[in-house]
Amino acid sequence: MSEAQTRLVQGTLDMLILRTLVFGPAHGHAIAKHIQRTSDDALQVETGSLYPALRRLEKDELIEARWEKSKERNRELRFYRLTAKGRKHLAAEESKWKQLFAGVARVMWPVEEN
Amino acid sequence: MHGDKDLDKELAAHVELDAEERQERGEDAAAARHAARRELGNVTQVKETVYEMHPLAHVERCWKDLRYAARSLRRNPGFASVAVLLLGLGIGSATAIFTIADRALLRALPVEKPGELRLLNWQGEFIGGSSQGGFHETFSYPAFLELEQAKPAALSGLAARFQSNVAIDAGTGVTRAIVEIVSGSYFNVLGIHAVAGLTIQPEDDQERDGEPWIVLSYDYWRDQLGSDPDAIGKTVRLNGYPMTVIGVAQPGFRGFEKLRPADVFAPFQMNGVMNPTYDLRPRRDAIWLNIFARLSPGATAQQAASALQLSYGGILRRDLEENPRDEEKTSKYVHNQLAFVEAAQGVAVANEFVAPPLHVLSAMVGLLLLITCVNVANLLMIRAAKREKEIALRSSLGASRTAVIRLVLLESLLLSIAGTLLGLAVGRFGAGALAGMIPADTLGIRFDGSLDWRVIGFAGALTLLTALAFGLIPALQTTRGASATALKNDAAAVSLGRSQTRTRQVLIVAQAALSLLLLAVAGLFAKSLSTMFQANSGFAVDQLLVLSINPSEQLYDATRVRALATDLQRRLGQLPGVESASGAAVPILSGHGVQNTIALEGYQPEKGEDMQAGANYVLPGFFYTVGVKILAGRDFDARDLADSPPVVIVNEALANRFFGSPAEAIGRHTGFHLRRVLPFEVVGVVTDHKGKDMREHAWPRTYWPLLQHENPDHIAFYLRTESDPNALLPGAISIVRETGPELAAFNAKTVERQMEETHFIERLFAQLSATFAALATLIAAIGLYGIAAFSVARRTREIGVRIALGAQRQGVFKMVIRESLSLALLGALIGLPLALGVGKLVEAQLYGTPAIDPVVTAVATIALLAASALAAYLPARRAMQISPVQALRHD
Repeated sequence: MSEAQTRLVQGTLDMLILRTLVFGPAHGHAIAKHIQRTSDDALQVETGSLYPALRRLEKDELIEARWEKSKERNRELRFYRLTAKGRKHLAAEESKWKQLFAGVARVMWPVEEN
Repeated sequence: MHGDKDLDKELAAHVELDAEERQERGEDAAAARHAARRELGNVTQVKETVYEMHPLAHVERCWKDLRYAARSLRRNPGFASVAVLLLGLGIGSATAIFTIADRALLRALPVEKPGELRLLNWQGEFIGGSSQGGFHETFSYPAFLELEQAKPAALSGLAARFQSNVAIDAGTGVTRAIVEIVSGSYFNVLGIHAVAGLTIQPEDDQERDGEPWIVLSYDYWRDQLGSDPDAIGKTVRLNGYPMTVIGVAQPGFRGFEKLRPADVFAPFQMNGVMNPTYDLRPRRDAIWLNIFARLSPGATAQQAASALQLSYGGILRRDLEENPRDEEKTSKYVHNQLAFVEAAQGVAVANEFVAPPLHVLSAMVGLLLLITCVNVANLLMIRAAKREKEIALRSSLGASRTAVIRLVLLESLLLSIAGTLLGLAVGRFGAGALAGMIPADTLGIRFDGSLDWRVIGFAGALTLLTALAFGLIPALQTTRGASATALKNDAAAVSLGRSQTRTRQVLIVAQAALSLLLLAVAGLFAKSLSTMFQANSGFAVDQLLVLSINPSEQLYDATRVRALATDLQRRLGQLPGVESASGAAVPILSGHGVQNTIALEGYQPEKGEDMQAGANYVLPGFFYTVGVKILAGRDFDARDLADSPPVVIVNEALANRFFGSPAEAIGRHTGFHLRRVLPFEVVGVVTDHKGKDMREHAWPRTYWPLLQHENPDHIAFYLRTESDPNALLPGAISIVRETGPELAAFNAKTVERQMEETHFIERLFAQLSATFAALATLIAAIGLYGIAAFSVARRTREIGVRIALGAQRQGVFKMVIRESLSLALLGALIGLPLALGVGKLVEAQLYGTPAIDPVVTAVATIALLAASALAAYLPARRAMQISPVQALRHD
């Protein structure tokens, strides 16, 4: 993968993670599972990409993390939650993505002019 | 990667969750765990990726790489130490030479804004009676006073100075010192302050009765007075005259003439004391002092010179009023022009003397640096080739290209740093040694232990660049791909190194050529030196001691000087061990010479014929004492006193040229050019001998009795002995002290030493060029060894096969040697024309040796070839001893 492509993928993954966390705090495994399920298995997040992404988002203060006792599983897991900065960033990225997607759609499937 | 325990925990938890999920889906426990683990992927990779995002990661990586580079260098101590040694020698010698050259020639005076200083020059006709210490840079004292009065706005200050020797007594006995006689404005113009007391000020120019002042140089105060805090106000005797110390100049300042550092500074008012026999202050026709000035801000030298020219015209006219000359000279004289030259380095009388040799030395050092770089490049290339496998392995394990390149860079950096550090030490040692080889009497070049950082920086940068270039290129080539082939080290893979081998061979040949060049030059200098020293000086050089006095400094009048001379001669002659004692006004083989224009009875000189003859004033028995043979007539003796008939002795060359033969010269008369009478009768003819140095060729000389001289001042006494002349030294000095306690005996040494000092440049050259040549040859030999060893190692298998197939071991041995020799021979062939060319360039420095000397060339070539054969010896032996079985297993 070229650098540009990598950045594109990274950016998208970041956005998906943030979106997932809108629904509430979650740990790494749960986030990956959620994305996979919600996309109908179209997107499989590799562990090798997930955790670096989470660390990056943490460094940029878009999410924060805490070790908590999981209710379902009887163990300590690291839970991530969105920060206010993260919410703002998500909104911005979402709008950018919508524009990009709309543009691509128009090129790919132009509306017939009568 | 020890920081992130969270991550470890998190990843572990992830794997467990995954496994649990799989189990819930129906997979069995073990398979589930297995799959989960697999899906996690390369844990290390994950950790690494996370880790990389940390800013400190960079720094830690560099540090680890550095340690790896250091370790890999340590694993190859031979390579590393040789490389560092080479670099150190090259950088060190360059630093030493340039440091001394800078001190001697380039560095500005340690004064305020030296760029603003200008030295006054004049162009035109000289109508004077006496010129001392230079020509177009000197002026008369009245001229200075009048110019100072007319100082234009373009100059912020005008000052004058003159230098001379003086006998000084600071309470611990009489020694010799250099005094700089200065105008009141001197210290102000230069911006030099006193670190204690006062400096000489403009008020001191007024003629006044009372305290004559002197200012000590910082070094003199420190060395001779032990940094005495009570030095101010102390009385010091200069030429016996009591003067008061009023100040100590700031450290580092030693006067206006860099190569002759001044010990004390005295005002012009006291010139009568400093130079008693010839106080030239009142004379308009004697030019002797330097005038320099500081430009005002915004002014140019042109403006200042033009402004001064107006007053200068008046000065010239007044000169002519006092010393009228014929019409032609007069009309020329009044048109003399003033000009200013840059004087940031002060006045440099000895520059023409020192500059050419230093240029030659610098060239030699440049060559040495070149050879060093070439050899380092060679070493690096060999090393890179050896490490092909290692690099290939690392590449295949995932090390990126940048990682490999970074490694090579770091290694080169380490080597360069180590080499530069060594170079610092070598340079400091070398500069000290070099300064030590220059006799202090001749040139005041001192080395204070500080090095020229520009040179180190330059040399360091140069070698770093070389190291980078020649380490990097093979590394780049190797990492481009074909790592598999490199790993196999197939015979076919050798072709990867073919171009490298060629490059290495070219480098070796270049080194050999340069070595031959240096060897030939060294040979030329050595031969020149030995020819010079073996030439017959005409004196019994190894049996003579000399020591000088200058009683005129102590205001001895002529009668007193003569009496003193006779007395000392007698007493010195009575020292045990002394066969004979005598004296002369002009010391032999010391670089000094005096000449007169003479006229001879019965000889009509042709128009424009050069009637100059060397002149010396000698005491009775001089020729016997110094070992010069008398061909006809007699030596001076008790008959030739002050009031006896005037006599002269001439040398063979004069007798032959003007009178036909020595015998015919006896009884004839000579005299001085401008006077009508020829009162001096020739009473003896002596053989020719060298005069001021060994380069002189025989030319007419005249000798006059010192005791008949009107105004004798300086006398050099010569003592002849059968045993070691050095043993006479203490006795001689104490006799001088007894006879004249206020006299300072100076320049006391054997004549042999004197000769060596006079020719220190030739000796220096011979020594240095020999050192460089040896170094260069050694370096080239090391290079040859390296290439031979590497070649043998590479071809181990091939050689093994050969031997197995029946080749003679001796043949193998000869083959390796032959390969080495052919490279060296090729280098020699290239180097020969270069050597001849360079020989022509240094011809001026040679004596009795042509630039193209077949013996020197042959010896140099043989030396180089012998060194190369020797260098290849060990590898050749190793080749010879290769066991075919082991070789075939070798990879």
